[in-house]
Amino acid sequence: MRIRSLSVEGFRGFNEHREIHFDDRLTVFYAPNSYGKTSITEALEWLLYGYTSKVKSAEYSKEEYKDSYRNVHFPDDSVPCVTAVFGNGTEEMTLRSELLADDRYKHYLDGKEVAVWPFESDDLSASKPFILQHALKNLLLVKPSDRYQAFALLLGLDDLGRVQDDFVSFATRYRQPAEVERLCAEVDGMFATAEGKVMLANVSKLYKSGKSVDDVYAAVLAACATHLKTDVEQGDVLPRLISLRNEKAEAVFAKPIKLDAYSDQQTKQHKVDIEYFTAFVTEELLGQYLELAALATVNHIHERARFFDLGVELLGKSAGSCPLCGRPVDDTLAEHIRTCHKEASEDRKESAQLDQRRTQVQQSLSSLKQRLDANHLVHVSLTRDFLALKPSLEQLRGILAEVHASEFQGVEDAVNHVDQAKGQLDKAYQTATEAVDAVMVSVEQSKEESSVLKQLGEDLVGYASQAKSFTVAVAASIPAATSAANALRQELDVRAGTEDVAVLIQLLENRKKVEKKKEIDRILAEVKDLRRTVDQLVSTRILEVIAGELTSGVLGWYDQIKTSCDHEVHFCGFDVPRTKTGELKARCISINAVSYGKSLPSAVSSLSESKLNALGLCLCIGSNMNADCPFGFLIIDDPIQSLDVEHEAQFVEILRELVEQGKQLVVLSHNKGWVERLVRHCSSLNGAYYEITGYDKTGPHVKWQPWEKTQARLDTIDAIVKDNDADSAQLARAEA
Amino acid sequence: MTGKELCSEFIKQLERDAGKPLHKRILCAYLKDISVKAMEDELSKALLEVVNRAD
Repeated sequence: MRIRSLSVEGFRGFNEHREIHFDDRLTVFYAPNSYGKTSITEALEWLLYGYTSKVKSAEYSKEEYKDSYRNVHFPDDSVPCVTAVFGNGTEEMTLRSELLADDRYKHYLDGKEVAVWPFESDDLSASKPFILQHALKNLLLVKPSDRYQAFALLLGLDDLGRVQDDFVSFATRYRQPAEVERLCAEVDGMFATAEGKVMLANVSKLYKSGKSVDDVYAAVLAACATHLKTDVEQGDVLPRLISLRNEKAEAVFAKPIKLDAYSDQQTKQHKVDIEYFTAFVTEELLGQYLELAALATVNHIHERARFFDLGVELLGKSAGSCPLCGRPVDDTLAEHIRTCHKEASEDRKESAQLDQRRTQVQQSLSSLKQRLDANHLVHVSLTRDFLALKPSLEQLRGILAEVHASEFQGVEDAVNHVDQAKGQLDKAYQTATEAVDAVMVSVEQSKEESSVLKQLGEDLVGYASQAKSFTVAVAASIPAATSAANALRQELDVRAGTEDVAVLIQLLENRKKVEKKKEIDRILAEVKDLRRTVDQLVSTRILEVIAGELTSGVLGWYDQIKTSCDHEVHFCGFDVPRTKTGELKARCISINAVSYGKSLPSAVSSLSESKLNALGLCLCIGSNMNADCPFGFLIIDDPIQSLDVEHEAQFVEILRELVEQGKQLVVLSHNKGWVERLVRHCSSLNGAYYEITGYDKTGPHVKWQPWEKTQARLDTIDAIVKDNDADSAQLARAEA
Repeated sequence: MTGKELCSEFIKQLERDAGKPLHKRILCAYLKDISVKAMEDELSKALLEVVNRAD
């Protein structure tokens, strides 16, 4: 794909619209410095890649380059754009990019908006068709790691570099999950404590030196044996140590500081209980309760029915006389008794339902009382040990206050806080149970009153509220209790002389955690190993490219640029240096040089600036010619800076050879003499020559110039006509 | 060589090296969407498996 024309407006040095047409083989621009020739290169680079390498490489000063693509004089209401026509034989395509705010852009291919250019794909790793003076410095006169990146970019191996960057980032910036960090810190903390104990320092040393868990714990058990003084089965070591420690600690202070949190089950049940208590007294219950007032009547019905049951039964046994007094009972009286019995039996049936309600209310009250008791008991049990500390607080102060004053103050406040909450809870519990009892008695005695049940409702809500406050007080006191418990444990170990035993207990109790920590260490070491393997693989690939094709390609061009006055100090190839162990150094490229057959430390420190510049040019050319580049053109911007006259002349030869090898060249230079020499030397190519004759707010003034003076052109044509070996294409080109 | 090709080549190499299943696991994760986060997530998973393993 060759470039045919370029139109620019509003981009970099270009304000008003400018259009440039390129020769199919060689186009040359001359312009003094600051006349905008680099803007031509930048416009093309931005069109193809969406950025210029100058801006991209200026990561450290992004602010300074912000919005630098847009020409400051370009009207605000217009859109800067770059358009280029590319061709390949008869095929042609027009690429247009519009510059939007914040350096965004829109692409148009043959007038239609597209997301990417057709030549862009995952495989667009080929060398870019630009040789830029500022980029040469990034290749050579930089530290090896930066050079490595620049080479990767130049050689189209950025993907490989990105993969390597990903693995470096992964291996160096990875942050472990909090659970993993906690476990590691806990285990490291245990061994750090052991390190401070003379008798356990060996244990810590073994752990830190990476010995196996078995080796570390063999040393732990040996230390345990010293403390226990008698031979103990391995399984009994821990219980014996705990017992030893507790015995000695209890001799100093017998009461533990212990305040556990509510278990999940308790918390769940508590929530259900609170809802139950606050919703116990409902309108429905009140209705059922008040209906029980009729129970007195019901009792009377039952007694009456039982009386008539007996009367009817006895009447059946002694018909005609009263079974009690023997007086005669006539038919009328007997009938009356039977009728009354029948009525009482019917009344009794109707009252059964009411009776059942009474039983239900009584069961509900009984159940309520049980739940109140159970709920209260949970709170009492949970805080019993903690509140039992209260009488011993003065003794505790004597132990803790000197070294752990804040911990003591914390636990003292916590005990008082929980105790106060407990007092209020007990009071509310007492009131609520009394209210339940009062309702039960009222039902028992058939003296139901709505005020009694309503009072129960209020007292239950009161209890629920105190129970809730109590749980909050407990939760708030746990950190202080835990902190004081730890301080007490430490202080007791100091006073009881069980510090080493405490560390040994901790180590024995946490062997599984130590095993897990070792496994975590192994995994993290494998990650480092993975990074090393990736580095080696990438470096090997880079080495293949730079030491093989690239070195021979660059040497081919470099040998051509040598001059007669070059003294014998020369570039001799690219390499990836090795470490002392023979591994390839990661992210590092060296440039080798020789002097009279002897290796020099580096071409960078040995070659003159002119020669380094020439090497940079050859490197760019070599990589571009080797790469599977989709572009048939090469833009070379100001190539001869710091070249001496003879190197300049040699470089003209190289440019001509590039054209003859099929490259379409666009060469820009500030050196008029050299440009004219290039044109003269390539006169038969009959390319395009432009001079930028001035620069103002509208942009550079690009003027087409004849490739040769008319007489010179006629002489060239005449020479071709007379040359029997010349072909018709040469003549056509000379006449064009 | 693109990043994906490199990973494929690398995973093949690791398949031959049966001693390091973690490498293969991380590379497989990376290969899925070529991101550091995918590798980090996989490593976190491996580490949490160790931490949360029942004693």
